[in-house]
Amino acid sequence: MLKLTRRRQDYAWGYLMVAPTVIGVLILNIYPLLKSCYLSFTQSTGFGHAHFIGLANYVRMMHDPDVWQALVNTLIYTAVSVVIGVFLSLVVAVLLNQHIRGRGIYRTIYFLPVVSAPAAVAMVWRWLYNADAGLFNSLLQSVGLPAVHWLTDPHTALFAIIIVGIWSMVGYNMVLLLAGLQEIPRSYYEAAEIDGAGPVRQFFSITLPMISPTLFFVVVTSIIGGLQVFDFIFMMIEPMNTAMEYTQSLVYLFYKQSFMMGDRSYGAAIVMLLLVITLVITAVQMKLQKKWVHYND
Amino acid sequence: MAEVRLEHIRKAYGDNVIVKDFDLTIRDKEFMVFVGPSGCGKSTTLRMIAGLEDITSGKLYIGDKLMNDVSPKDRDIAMVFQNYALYPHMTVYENMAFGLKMRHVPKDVIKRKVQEAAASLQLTELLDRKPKALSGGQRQRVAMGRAVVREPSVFLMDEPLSNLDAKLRGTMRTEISRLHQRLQTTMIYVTHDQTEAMTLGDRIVVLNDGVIQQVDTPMNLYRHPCNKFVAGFIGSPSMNFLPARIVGEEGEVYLEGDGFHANVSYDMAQKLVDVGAREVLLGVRPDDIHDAGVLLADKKEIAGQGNVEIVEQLGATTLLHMRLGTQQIVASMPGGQEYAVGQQVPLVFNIDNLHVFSTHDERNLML
Repeated sequence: MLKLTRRRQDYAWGYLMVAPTVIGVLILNIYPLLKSCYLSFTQSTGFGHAHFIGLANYVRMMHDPDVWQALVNTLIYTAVSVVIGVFLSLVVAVLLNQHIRGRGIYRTIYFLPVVSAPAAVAMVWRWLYNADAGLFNSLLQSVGLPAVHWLTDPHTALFAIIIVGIWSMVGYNMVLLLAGLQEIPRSYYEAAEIDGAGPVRQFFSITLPMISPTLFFVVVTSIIGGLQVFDFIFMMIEPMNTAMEYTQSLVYLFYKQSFMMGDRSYGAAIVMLLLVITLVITAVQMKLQKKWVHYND
Repeated sequence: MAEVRLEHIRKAYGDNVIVKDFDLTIRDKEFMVFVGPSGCGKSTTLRMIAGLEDITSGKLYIGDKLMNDVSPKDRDIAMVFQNYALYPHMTVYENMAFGLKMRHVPKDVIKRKVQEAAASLQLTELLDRKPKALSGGQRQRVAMGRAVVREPSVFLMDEPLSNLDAKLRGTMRTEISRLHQRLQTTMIYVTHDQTEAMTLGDRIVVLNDGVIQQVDTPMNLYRHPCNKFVAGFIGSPSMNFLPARIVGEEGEVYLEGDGFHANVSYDMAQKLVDVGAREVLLGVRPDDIHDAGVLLADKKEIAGQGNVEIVEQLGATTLLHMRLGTQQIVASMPGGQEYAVGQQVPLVFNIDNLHVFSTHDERNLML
């Protein structure tokens, strides 16, 4: 009978415990990633077959104005939604960290978008944005302003989507930041108060540095989330919408190429481009965090 | 430098009264210690002086100025917190300079003051470090340094040594004493540790349940506690309390209780005669209980026989946990003596240092 030493037994148990997660990651994350990477160097020939074509998909991508426009759309969406969204999340978190009446109710209200079904949310927003019967236009017209074609005007469509994105992200980020705020010991503020720091100074000298690890996490995950935006565009912008070109993101373009046009190889190349962009932005942030993120331990 | 005057200060959260009618004048340059058990209101009182808690009623003066509604930054105070509250993202230098920076002190003055304070607290080498890279004692010194550079009129310290180990606590106690001697500033120090209170304070305020029990010098509190609470709180190990009867026989007055018969001094006898009640509480400090065998005492002087249950050898002294009659007592004997569990020790009480408390309201009947 095979006898394991105590040490080996410990290792065996350890591997057994992490096995479900590792197997899950390998099958659901790593394998599709490698498969997509491989696909991006091939051309689909139908019936699941493909042949290797080297960098042809990437060369095609470089000359495809749709890809460039989708990249610009994605970057605008990410930059605007993260800057405004994270700022609003922080403001709401700070406000809801005060001793105000009905604090629990407000926290619930802000968190509701996170637990709402995106499809239902999109439907409601579509009604709000509706050019003829929507709430926003009714309000504009009630004060004598002209109606806006929120979701079909190329100038406003992307920003209309950004607003929904911000609305849906604030609650989740607010909860994370609130947890971070509640970790800050009261005595820091008391010491600062005695030292002569007013509320604004306290925010910048204590709250912000102390919450920076949480803020960093929120910024990184929000940027990754922003770069992957798909659902609100898919549900709110019709394929034939005139504003589609100016709203579609890289993920939406990937979806269109892979599943609507049937060119999975080209779709895979678009996903690889997004992956590289995400990795570069995240790596830069990891590098820059030394300048502004303060870890206590 | 300033006198701090608290006039009938009261603090309540709804119906819950934390501090009741706190009336005290802390003299200029005095080192005043607030001592008491957890929840007695000592930290709340300090925080009211700092301006971190509102005063429910009463008046607080620092110098001649009424401070009730003055914000903490304008009270000319500095505070050392229990957890030090050093800003973790700032270096030692930045931590110490922060208060001066907020007061728009010129940079070169800040630099000079921080460096002077750092030198006096042996922090010069640590100025570029962040708090997480410091030991507990070093953090404590930075917290003090941060207060020192401000040159405030009043220093407030809220249990500043309670996070340190016993040895370091001893060292830091001496440093705080030195600091007070050097700065000659009013200091108000909160602690639950009676040793800290005794060693540091010019005067001590003993608090219980939000009420001042006694304000006096350390030795007066030790020798003349005004009630059973103060007598039990001040002194380590604590005073022994034994229910006793006052007995007067053949012109002699003595105290008698379960397992003992204590002679009293002439002065005490006079006072006991005047006490109306016959049932009292005898208070004997462990240092005032002696081994009759060692003293070669007369048989008449023996108060009772203690049955040794636990022996704690501390080196210079040996603590005997004994049973006297059916009561538990502690006696502090010279370290050289050997005792064994189960040994019967004939005990003599030091009749000059006995305390007698009322069983009714626990006040010291000998004062």
